Amino acid sequence: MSSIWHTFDAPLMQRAAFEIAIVGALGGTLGVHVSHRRLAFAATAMTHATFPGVVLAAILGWSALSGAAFAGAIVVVAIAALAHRGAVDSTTSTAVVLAGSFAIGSLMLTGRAGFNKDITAALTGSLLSVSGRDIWITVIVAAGVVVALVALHKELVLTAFDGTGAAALGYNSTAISVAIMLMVEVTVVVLMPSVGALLSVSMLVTPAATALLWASKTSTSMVIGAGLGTLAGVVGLAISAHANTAPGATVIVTQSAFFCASLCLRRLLSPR
Amino acid sequence: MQRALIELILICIAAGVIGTHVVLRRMAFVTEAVTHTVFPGIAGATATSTSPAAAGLGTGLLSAICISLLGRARKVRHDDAVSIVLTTFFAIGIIIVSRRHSFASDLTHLFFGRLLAVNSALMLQTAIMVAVLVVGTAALQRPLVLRAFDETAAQAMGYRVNVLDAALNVMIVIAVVSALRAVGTLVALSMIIAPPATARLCKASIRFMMMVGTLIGVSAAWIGLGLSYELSVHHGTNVGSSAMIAATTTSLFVVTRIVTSLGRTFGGSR
Repeated sequence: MSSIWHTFDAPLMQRAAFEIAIVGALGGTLGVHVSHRRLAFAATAMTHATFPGVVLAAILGWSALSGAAFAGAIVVVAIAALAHRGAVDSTTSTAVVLAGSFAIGSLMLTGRAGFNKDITAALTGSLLSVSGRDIWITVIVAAGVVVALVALHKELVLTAFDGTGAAALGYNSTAISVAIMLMVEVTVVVLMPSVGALLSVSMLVTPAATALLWASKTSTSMVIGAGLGTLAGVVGLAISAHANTAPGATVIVTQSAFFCASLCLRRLLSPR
Repeated sequence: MQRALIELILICIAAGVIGTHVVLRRMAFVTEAVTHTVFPGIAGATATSTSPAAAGLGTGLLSAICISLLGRARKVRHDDAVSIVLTTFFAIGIIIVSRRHSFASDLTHLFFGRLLAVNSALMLQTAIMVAVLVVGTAALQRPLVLRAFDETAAQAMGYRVNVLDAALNVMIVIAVVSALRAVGTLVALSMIIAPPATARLCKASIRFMMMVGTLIGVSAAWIGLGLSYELSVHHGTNVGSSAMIAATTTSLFVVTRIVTSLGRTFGGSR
């Protein structure tokens, strides 16, 4: 039992714990807005779109983060353009863009037998090998997103629930939508090194959905979401160290366990 | 190559038929989720050497049930429910495969399938699943279409909407599993969504959406397969056929989208 208290003794584990705590808090905070605006699928598409970005970066020798950010920006524009003027619904255009960008990414891998180690790491994460530089970038992005969320809080809540009312009051809801998509994009990019592109959407959705079971006020649920994201991150990391499982995936399963427990508890506390 | 093409045609029929309903009902996210939730089944089957199709079908159906139940829970948004189920199942799959040495190659097979390793047993499996889908959609055609466009009317006419939704979810799982081993998740998703969506851009009726969708799918498969063969054999590259097929379905959709919107802009009033 005493070994549990020594889980975070190694510097490598401390770095990983610090990183997952910050991305957990970031995801839980921003996730409340993702849920309110029903952006879960768009965020999933963005996580998949980082893949061709990472491949392109590997080919051109850029950093993986800048490649992912570049590809994510293109995807946001492509989804909006294809669904423009209601030609198809945004769900369909999102799916087409998602599959298309993943296909382009794999075509760029031409000449390789399969995934190499770096690309598998980008897809599924490598929490234990985050560098000091990754952590710095994460801290800066998290601070920036939280400042933006606080500064735009009233506008974000109003445009999410009452577009007509917001327009009547003179708010530009398109600009607000673009701002939130940009925040989702940078968040997805900094989530990539820790949990990987394929699972990072969980960091944005699950803790926030759990928080929304307990609170209806947006600011309260953001605080609860941040707390849950951090807690699930650190607990999941500790479990993965003891059970010798993939850390990113274990964190995701821990988040889901928190969600299921909350759902059951909520049922028991307020039947009907 | 012939076997690969026949397998692809079978997959295109399943995708065209189911994809039409997916596009009408805006269920692309559920489809994307199912392409990931069959993964733990397949990973577990490889580890315990049971049938991957059966195990994939099992976890896929389980995830479809979870999505329907969670989506109906109070205070949980449907999109969030889909996303939570998707990532949970996929994470469990990752945990299973990450304990094995063939991690990267397992993932590669999941995403891209093994089209050139298709054998007659797999083709028979696919053919059975396609037959089930075609019969199922044909039998449920009227209530499914009615439910897609007018939920209240469907309820008023005595159809059980929940049962219809569950049936559609089950058929999506079957369609995804039928495509998975040959072409992988990427083509499964792009085949189910892009060709019927392309047909819809051309204002096809529902029955025609299924047929045109299947035809567009088959042409994309043929073009993609041909291109990857040509590039690999004559130009010494190693272009994956699945990626090429998915890129072709996407391009056909994007081009059609541009052409139809140009047509609307410059075609004047009709």
